[in-house]
Amino acid sequence: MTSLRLELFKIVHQKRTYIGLLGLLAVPLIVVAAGALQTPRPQDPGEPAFVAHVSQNGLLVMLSALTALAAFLLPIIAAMGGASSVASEAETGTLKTWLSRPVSRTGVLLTKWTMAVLYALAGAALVAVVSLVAGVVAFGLHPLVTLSGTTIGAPHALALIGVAYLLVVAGAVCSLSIAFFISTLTDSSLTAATIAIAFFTVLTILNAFSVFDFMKPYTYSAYRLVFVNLFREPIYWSPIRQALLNYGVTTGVLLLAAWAVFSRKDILT
Amino acid sequence: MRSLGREFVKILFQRRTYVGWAGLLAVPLLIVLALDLSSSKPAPGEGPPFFAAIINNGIFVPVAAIGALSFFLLPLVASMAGAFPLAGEAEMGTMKTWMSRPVGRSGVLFSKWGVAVLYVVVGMLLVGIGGLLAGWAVFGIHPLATLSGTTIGVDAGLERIALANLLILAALLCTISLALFVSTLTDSSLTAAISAMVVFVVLTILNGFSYFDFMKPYTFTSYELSFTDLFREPIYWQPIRNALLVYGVTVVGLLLVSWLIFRRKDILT
Repeated sequence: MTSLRLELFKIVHQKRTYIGLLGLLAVPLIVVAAGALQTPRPQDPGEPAFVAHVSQNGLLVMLSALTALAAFLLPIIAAMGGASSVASEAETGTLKTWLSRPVSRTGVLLTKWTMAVLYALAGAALVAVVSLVAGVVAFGLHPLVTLSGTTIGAPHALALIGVAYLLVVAGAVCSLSIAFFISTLTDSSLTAATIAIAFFTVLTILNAFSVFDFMKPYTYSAYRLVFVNLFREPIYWSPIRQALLNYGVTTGVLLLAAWAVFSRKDILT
Repeated sequence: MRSLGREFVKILFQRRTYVGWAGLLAVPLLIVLALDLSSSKPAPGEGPPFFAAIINNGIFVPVAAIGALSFFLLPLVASMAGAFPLAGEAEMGTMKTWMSRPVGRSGVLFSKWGVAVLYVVVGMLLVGIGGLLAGWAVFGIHPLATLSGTTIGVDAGLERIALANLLILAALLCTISLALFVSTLTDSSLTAAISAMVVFVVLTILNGFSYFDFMKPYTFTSYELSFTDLFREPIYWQPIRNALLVYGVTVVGLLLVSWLIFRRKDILT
C-alpha cells in the first residue's frame, strides 16, 4: 500500500498526467456541444445507433463519448500510462536507487502496473462523470431505448453504461500491458508507448480485412465495440464473455512476460 | 548539414527507429497479402480511397497504403520522430554537454526538426517502394484510371503518386512541428509525443462533427483526403492550395514559437 501511495505521488506530479486527462475531458464536451448545436444527421454506416441520436437523451452522450474513446484516445493514454511506469524510472536514473533498497522486484512491477490501470480507470471515470453531467444538463435524463427496441429505466441504464465503461477500460488494459511489457525491455518510455500504439493500430487494420477474420477471436482489438451488446434485451453475454476471456489471457501473458524479464534484468540506470 | 548527418547517425542507433519503419512497411504488404488471399474482392468504392482499385492495378497499392496510414499510424510515427530528438537529449542528460560547445541553438533546433522530417521521409519511401514492388509482383502495373474516368500512363501515374506523397508529407510536417514544439517545453519525450497525438486526435474528433465545420479551413487535420484531388483530370488544385497554405502557416507558426522558447530556455540536464 505504501508503494502504491508513492506511485500515486509520482503520477500526480507529472505534467503528462494532466495532458492525458485534458484530452479525455475534451471528448464529452465536444460531443455535447456538437449534439446541442448541430441539426440531427443521418446515421453513418458502421456507427452504433446511439451516436446520431445523442441530442435526445443525456445518457447517449456517455455512450457516444465512450465509442470515440475506445477507438483511439483511451488506448493511447493507457499505453502512455503503462510505458512511463518502469521505463521512465530508468530514464530519470532512479530505478537503480530504488532497487538498491529492500523492495521486491515483483512488488515494484505489480505496483507500477496497478497504478497505470488506476490512471486509465480515472480517465474513464472522468469522462463518464463529465459526460453524464454535461449530457443531463444539455439534453435531460430519459429512459434509454435499447438496440432491441425495448425501453429501460434511467438507473438501470446507468448501471449498464457503468459496465460498458469498465469493459472498454479492460480492453485498454491490454494496450497498457503491451506498453508495460515493452517498458521492461527498453530504457525509453517513448519506445514502449509507440510500439504499443503501433501494435494496436496494425491489429485494428488487420481486423478490417475479412481474410484475417480467423485471427479476430484472438486479437483484443477486435472486441473494441463489444460493449454495444449490453444494450440489447436480453443482453448478449456470449461475445462479452469471449472478450473478457481474451482480455484476461492477453493481460495475463504480458504481465507474466514482463515479470520474467524484469525479475532478472540488469538495472544499469 | 554536418549536424543533420550526425543527428541521422544517432537515430540509426536506436531500436525504435527500426520498429517504426517496420510497422509502416508492414501495412502495404499486409494490404497486398489480404487482397490477394481474399476470395471476396472489395466492391468499387469500398474501404479507404483507391483501395478497391488495387485488384486491377498494383500501382494503387502505394496510394491506398499511404492514404490509410495518414489517418493514424503516420501521425503517430511523426509525433514520435518530432518529440524525441530534443527531449531525448534532455532525458539522457546530453543536452547540457552539447550546449556547452560553440553551437548555435537555432542550428540545433532546426537540425533536430530536419532529422525528424528525414525519418518520416524514409518511412514513406519504404511504404511507397515496398507497396509498389508488392503491387507489381501480385497485381501488375497498368496505366491508371483517374477518378474522372480518363486514363493516364504509368509514368504520369507515378508522378501523381509522388505528388500525393509530398502532400501527405506536408501534413505530417505539422504533426512533427507540434511534437517538436511541445518537446521544447518539457524534458520528457513521452510527454511531447503524447501531447501531439492527443491534439491530433481531438482535432480529428472535432472535424467529425458538422457543427465544428467553421474550424475546418484552419485545422491541418481536415485536409487528410486532399491528396485524392490529384487523381482527377484535370487536377483540382484549389483544395490542394488551401491545404498547403494551412500546412505552411501551421509549420512556420509552431517552429517560430519553438525557436522563441528554445533560444532562451534554461538547460538543466
